[in-house]
Amino acid sequence: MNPDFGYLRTGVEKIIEGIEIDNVIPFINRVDNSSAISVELVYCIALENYFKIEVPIRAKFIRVILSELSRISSHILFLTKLANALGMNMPLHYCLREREEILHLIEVATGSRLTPNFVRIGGIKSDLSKQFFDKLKEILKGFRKKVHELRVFFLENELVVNKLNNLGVLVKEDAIKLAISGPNLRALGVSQDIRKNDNYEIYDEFNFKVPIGDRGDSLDRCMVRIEEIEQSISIISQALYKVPEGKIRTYGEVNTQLMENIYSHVECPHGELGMNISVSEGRIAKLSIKGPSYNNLFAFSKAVIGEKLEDIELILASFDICVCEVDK
Amino acid sequence: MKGILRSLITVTRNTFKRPVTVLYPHDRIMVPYNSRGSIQLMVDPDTRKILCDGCGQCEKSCPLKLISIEVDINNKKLKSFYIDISRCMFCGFCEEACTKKALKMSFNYELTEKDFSALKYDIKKLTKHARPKLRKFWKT
Amino acid sequence: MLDRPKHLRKIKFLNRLKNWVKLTSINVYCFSSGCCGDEILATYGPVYDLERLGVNFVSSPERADVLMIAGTITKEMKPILEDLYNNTEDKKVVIAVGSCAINGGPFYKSDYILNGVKEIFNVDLYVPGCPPRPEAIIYSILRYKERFK
Ligand code: SF4
Ligand code: SF4
Repeated sequence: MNPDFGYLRTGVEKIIEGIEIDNVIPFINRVDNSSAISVELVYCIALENYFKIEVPIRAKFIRVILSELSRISSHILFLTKLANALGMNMPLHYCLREREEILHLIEVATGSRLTPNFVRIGGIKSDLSKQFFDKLKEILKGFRKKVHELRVFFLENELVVNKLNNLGVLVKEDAIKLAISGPNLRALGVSQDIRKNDNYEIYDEFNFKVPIGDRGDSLDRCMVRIEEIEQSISIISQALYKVPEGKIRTYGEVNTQLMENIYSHVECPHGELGMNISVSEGRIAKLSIKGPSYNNLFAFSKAVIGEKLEDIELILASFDICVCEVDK
Repeated sequence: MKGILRSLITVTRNTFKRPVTVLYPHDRIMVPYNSRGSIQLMVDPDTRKILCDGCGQCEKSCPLKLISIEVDINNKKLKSFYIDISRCMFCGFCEEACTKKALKMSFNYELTEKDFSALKYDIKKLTKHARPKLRKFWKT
Repeated sequence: MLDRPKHLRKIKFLNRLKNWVKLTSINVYCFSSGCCGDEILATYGPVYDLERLGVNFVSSPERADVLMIAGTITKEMKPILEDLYNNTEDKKVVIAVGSCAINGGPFYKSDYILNGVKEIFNVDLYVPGCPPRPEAIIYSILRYKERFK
């Protein structure tokens, strides 16, 4: 099975050439529609590391909180798609209800529901108020219970478990050959997470597990994501009580000569998101994005071989492919 | 069997909770104060005049170059101010660039139009929903 | 007052009946991609619940009264969209959601992008926003309903 590309090609990488480096952020966050903040984050981290700009600690904490929130919302969107493919109407509505709460939190913090435009080079755009943290505490208190409800629907219901078990198994050699990453790789039993292996923000201060599966079928992929939601909640609730007071942004020097191949990567909800930037005279000379969904799409076309025709939609939903990011 | 029963119990428990649906045209969710809706020009509270003096900062900062300003050369007053809202991506850079706080993104999100030409906002449309700029109680 | 001929009265009554039916059940065919597609999914959810206004999301264009087109429109999609438009029934209304579908949006400089669906066919309602809030999408449905009142 070969995928057919080009139906959603926007050419973002081309149109941002020649734009000032501060103005790029609203263009590139449209690449990944389910968690836009991780694309902004990888861009800013790349330039900060290269030009040695020190980010204030309060800004780092807020970045972590927001990116974990968007990870939760993306994984809940995955469960929505899975419920739709399974034909379960009730859990679909429950998922959309929980997602709305998280999106409201993101909107209170950043000003927009899906396209925040919030992270800046050297910090963040504006400070978060005390009301936001109070609201976050209030919502997190009830959220664990809600995730447990979703777990009952997807992982303890025998009808769903029997359907998903041994469906669309991905072989380990294939996965490593295709360089897939993220929850789809962790479902195979490989413990690979950039938050742990290459702690880019202050992720080493938090105490969290990397959930792994063992066989690499659809059930494992679903289970890994639900457990990641729980780990994200625990990261946020640790971060909430540690946020220090202080500045939120430093204005650093950006050199004016040609700088080539500045690379950085983060763990976005679909996998490893990398970005390669060349800057000249304060403007973008070349920028290329390496998205995880592209590799996951090929992994899907490997895993689908030998399955029944009516299960294809279900297997596609279980790989969580963000179509915008495949074509860019 | 046990799992199906448990999910049935969860459904029945949720049936008796308070409904979350917002009956939109009759009641609304409160939009956060920094939410980015349509763009508006602010008005001075005393003289009811537009605060913008046409310095052109927002024109320069817009990544898509959608704002066009014309200034009268003789008395240095704003002649025309157009924003092409049909391509706007509501990024908020124009609001950040304005040093006089004359441009602000409002709460208004009901922007549906029938004509395409109505999407090019002029001064009249930009000040339609504008409230006077908040003033300090104690004058310094 | 002049009395109307009987058959004309009958036609008027039938028209009113048809309008009433159209007001209470609107069939929407949704062609969505990108971030605007996520917001349309949110209007389907329990918090905004479009179905309480009589909106039905249908899965084939033959049964639809309203074509809702949202998200990025590329040149590759043009034949598909033309096909869709020709297949919908006669009195169709097209709603363009999001600045990509209206006029190319943030990507209008790109070679792959079509400058809005207005280049292919006539659009009746424009919903600006990037992405528009779910309430804004519901508001466009309310504007559509005003036509039949
Ligand atoms: S919100 Fe952004 S795109 Fe829209 S006019 Fe302002 S700067 Fe331009
Ligand atoms: S209009 Fe904006 S939000 Fe909608 S698809 Fe285009 S870029 Fe995304």
